[in-house]
Amino acid sequence: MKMKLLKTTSILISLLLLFGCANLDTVKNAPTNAGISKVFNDDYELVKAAALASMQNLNINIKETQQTSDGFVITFTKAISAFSWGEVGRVLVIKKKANSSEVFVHSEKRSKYQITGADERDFALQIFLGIDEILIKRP
Amino acid sequence: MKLITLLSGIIILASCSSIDVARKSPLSFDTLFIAKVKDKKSITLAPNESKSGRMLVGLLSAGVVGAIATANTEDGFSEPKAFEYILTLPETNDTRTVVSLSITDIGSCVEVISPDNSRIELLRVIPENKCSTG
Repeated sequence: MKMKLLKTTSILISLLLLFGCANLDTVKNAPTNAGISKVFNDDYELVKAAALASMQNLNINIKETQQTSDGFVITFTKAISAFSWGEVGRVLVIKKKANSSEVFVHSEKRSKYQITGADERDFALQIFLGIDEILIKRP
Repeated sequence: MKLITLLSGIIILASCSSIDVARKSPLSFDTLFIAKVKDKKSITLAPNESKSGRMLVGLLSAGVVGAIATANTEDGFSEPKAFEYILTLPETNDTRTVVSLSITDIGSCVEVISPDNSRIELLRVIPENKCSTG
């Protein structure tokens, strides 16, 4: 009896943990200033291309791009793995001034209670490093 | 038997993907050509993460509960969206077809850039005079 109760409880807890998940809509609908940002003093079109190049080269899956009134939006996922249920994220490139653009990187773990896996800082670091590398090469 | 199953599960799970965010290859940003956008349409790319693959990992790591949970995560899991552009080269008026995640308007002058060895290129809008032949 005690064993059955324990089993039922553990299944219910597992279900609650797994269904309390973040998905692409969670990050798509997040505030525009959500996440970690960095300002690049370069042409908006170049920064957009550099952000995409930086992301295409990473071990993530770009799901969709959109040009909205807020800016250029790139949504991505990171696949499920041994230690993570996967992650979902959004990169937003905003035109600030003539030669200045701001890039926001926002991500969430699919399972909100998961400790392991990549977090927002991991994605932001690699994406910003890639953009910097491209902008240094380009005049 | 249980140990073999457990070890097999761990090996399959560990081979699925890395938890680190890392580059797959050295970063490049090479100009292929300059052209004018003649037409574009939205397309769906080949799946890069299948629902059945996720369910298998879910099943191995958390049993039936894991499989059910991963099956219900979201729709359109395996359908990345991109654009197919038809571009006209200014010098010859020849057309080229390019798949890209970039978003540009028809009539724009663009620089086509290769970021890696995939067939997905980048389009960067550049000043109109770069597409004029005169």
